[in-house]
Amino acid sequence: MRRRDVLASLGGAAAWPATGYAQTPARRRLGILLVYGESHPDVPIIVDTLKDSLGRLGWTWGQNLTVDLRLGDGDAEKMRRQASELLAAKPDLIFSQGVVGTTAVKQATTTTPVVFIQVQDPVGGGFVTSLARPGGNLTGFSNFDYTFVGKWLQLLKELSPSVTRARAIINPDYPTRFAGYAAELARTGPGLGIRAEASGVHDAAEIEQAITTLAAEPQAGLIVLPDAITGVYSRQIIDLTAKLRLPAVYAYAAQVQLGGLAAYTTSVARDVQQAAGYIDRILRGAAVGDLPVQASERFLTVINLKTAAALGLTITPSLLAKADALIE
Amino acid sequence: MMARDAAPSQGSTAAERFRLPLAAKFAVAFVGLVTLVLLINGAVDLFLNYGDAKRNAIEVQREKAHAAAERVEAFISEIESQIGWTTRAEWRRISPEQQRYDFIRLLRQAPAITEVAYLDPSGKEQLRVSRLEPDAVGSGKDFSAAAAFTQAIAGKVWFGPVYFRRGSEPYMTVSVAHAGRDPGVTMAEVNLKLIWDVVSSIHNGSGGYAFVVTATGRLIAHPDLSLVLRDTDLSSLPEVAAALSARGSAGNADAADYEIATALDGGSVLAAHATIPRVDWIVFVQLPLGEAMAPLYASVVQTLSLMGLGVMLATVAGTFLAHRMVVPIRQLEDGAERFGSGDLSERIVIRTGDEIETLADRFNLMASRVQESYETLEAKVEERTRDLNTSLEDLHKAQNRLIQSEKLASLGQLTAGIAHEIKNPLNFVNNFASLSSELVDELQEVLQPANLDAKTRAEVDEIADLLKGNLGKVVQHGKRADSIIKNMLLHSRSGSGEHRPVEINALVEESLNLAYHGARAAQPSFNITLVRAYDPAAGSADVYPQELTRVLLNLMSNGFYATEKRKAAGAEPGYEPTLSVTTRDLGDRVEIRVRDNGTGIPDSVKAKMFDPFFTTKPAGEGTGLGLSLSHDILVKQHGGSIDVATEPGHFTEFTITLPRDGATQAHPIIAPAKSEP
Repeated sequence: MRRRDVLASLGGAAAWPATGYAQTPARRRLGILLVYGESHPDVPIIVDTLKDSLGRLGWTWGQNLTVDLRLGDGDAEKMRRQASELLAAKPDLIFSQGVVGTTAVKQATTTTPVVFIQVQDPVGGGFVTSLARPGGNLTGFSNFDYTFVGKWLQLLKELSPSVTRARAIINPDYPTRFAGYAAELARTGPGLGIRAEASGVHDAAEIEQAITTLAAEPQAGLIVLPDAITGVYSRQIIDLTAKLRLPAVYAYAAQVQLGGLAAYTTSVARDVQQAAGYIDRILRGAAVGDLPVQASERFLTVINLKTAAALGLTITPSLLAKADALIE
Repeated sequence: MMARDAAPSQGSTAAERFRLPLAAKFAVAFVGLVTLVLLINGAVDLFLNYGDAKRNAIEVQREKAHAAAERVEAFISEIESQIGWTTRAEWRRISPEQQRYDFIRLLRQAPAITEVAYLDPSGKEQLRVSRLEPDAVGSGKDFSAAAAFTQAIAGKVWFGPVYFRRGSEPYMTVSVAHAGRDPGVTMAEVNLKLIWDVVSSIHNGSGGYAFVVTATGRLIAHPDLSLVLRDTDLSSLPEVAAALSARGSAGNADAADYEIATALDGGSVLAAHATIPRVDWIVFVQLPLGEAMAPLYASVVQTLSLMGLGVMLATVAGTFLAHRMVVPIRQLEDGAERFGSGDLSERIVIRTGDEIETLADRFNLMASRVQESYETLEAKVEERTRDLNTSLEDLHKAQNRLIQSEKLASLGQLTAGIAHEIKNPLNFVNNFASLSSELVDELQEVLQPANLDAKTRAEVDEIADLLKGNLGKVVQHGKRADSIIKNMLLHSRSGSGEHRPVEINALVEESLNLAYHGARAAQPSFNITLVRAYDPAAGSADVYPQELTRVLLNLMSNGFYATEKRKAAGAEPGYEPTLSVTTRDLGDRVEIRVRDNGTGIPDSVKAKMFDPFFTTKPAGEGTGLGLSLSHDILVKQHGGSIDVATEPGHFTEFTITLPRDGATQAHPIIAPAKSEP
């Protein structure tokens, strides 16, 4: 009986650091800046996943973690304001989405730790100095490289082998990104027999114009690059491509869920879960600059069979083999 | 009392010097011994346990390291076997579309493979399927000189060195040669980040984990992925450095495949490692030292608590035993003290059944002996005292007798001298007085013829008669004086006559008759009742008959005198003078009692009645020497005794006891008188 007590006390002692780690520290404040609007289906996925993940790590929203959530509606100017608002509340950390959102936060602070997701080429974009050692106050998770535009182009070609003309739309206000995509399109397009170009869009009108002019060309296809604008206007883009019977490939599964044809993408939930781990570590004292930026290593091919059928496209067996999710 | 007072003070100083009582000494010794034994036992136990626990912990860690290495190797083997299905001999003959399909399936099956390429037998890339880039068909890139191709052809399977994409993500090229003659090669780029799934699922206690480094110490898998991505070189970490140097020295890597080292986070850990020879990686498993040694600490705590318990029990038991031991000793002490103070009435009662009980019994026995000795001693002292008193009494008696003897002896000599000197003139007086009386008669005869007138004649006769009367008186008193002197001479001259055995009853009867008739002769009116009670067994005794007769006559005539005197007092009517004489046999002695119912003897007289010349009779009637003489005769001459019992006005009884052979022992008490002149 003594022995058991002793062992129990030892076990308790051994377990102490763990329980101490799990103990919730003083109340902290987290600012969240998402680029989408309320209606975007990824918003609840991101928010709920973050909430759950942080909850499992000992951070309960509204209890020991005060959360300020801002939705940027794809408006860069608005997001800059929102970043200032968030920082005014003196958060311990800001969680930002996308190149647009992260740029807004980066411009607003050089001291408050920032954990980003869904950023492409964080080194080229100037967010961090290196992936292994970010160095500054930002770190996070990148989902795609510019090379992915080749994957999207190939997916487009596989879905609709007749496509010889493609246009990729994105907000051109971030020149590194735009140039990166443009260069990749130019590099990989010829190999696939596609004449591809990047097209800058700022709003619904420009989107409509870009798609409409593209649809006017024969054997054309659309690539919707990952961006705040394209995300916010997903519904219009999908409706427009459906109306114009234009095959389109997207960067996010949510857009395929809404009726888009296909996407080669990452799991948003998984990105958020990983980010939650970094948020936890930073809130517990880890230095932001020491946490390496992680790139996604798992990718999903999502195809909407209904849209494909509507477009009169047949899905090859190799494409079916590739597909991780098929939406009927 | 002094000694008794001194003893406790001595005791108290001794108690100050040796303040530890027996119980405490015993308890201290007992507890000390038990503690010592427990300490030794505990130390030995700990020593052995420490070795055991350490060996166990190391063994466990070593096994875990091997298990971890196996799992990491299984990860690689899995990839190899997945690739395996694109390496069939006929694979290169299937359509490119089918090949691409197979590669796509491979990517789906093996998430860690980021890119896979098919190199034809000449080393040209025929197909490349990537997760990151567009698939390339028939790019014709030449890999014929690349290690991935040549090594795979040479060795069937080739694991390339670990490299880092964009300086962050660890990758490794795995190429597998196809089966059959003139084979192609399937080359896969494997994202080693996914070993994380394997490494993080290796649980080692609650604080331990596993990690993997390359042969150069570069970290490629760690539960904290950020460390891997941060391009961490662990070759300077002690355990890694030790493992690397051990590998450098080659061979017996197992000899030192564990280490107690400082981990990345600074704590002490027990680290073990195992190598994966195929890829030349080292898998480390480490556990915080405290956790690894927890069984040891548990056993230390157990040993210590058992020791504490043991000491506690020993203290309790020691105290109890000491108390048990001391209680009877205290009783013994109390008992001994009681005995020491002389109280032997109680016994020590101890029933412990051991040596102390035996000791108590010995004490009791001793006390009994002492008590017995006391009692015997007292009896002896009493006896001796009695003996001494008797002796003293005898001595006093002897002394008195001696004094009396001396007194009488000197008196006797004096008396004898005086009597002798007086007797001569007295003889002259008596003789001449008798002669003168006769001469008066002759004178009257002479005068008879003379013619004298009547008147003158009458006067002459008258004077002659007066003269004759006077002379008669002179003679009478002279004779009396003469008798006194005779008695005095007798007194001083004992031992007269001879001693011989005499029939006591006859002697007494003769004396009684003599006395009675003597008294009747002197006084015709005398009358008395004589009572004789002679014991026929009185027998004979060796006595001086004349002397004894004188004593009896003396006593009897005293008795007659006393009755006469009482009768003369004439008080009571019906008074009958009685004299009773009794003899009695007392064995070697004989008793004679002479009892009269006369006036008795008052106490004042009784004390002095045996003194010489003491008499109560009117002057001229007694010499005062009767009883004195009787006493001397009986006591000194015969060795007997004379006692008197009397009650004034009622009776007097003299009791004579005589030894039957008393006269032979007796000595003459008075020196023989000088010869008469």
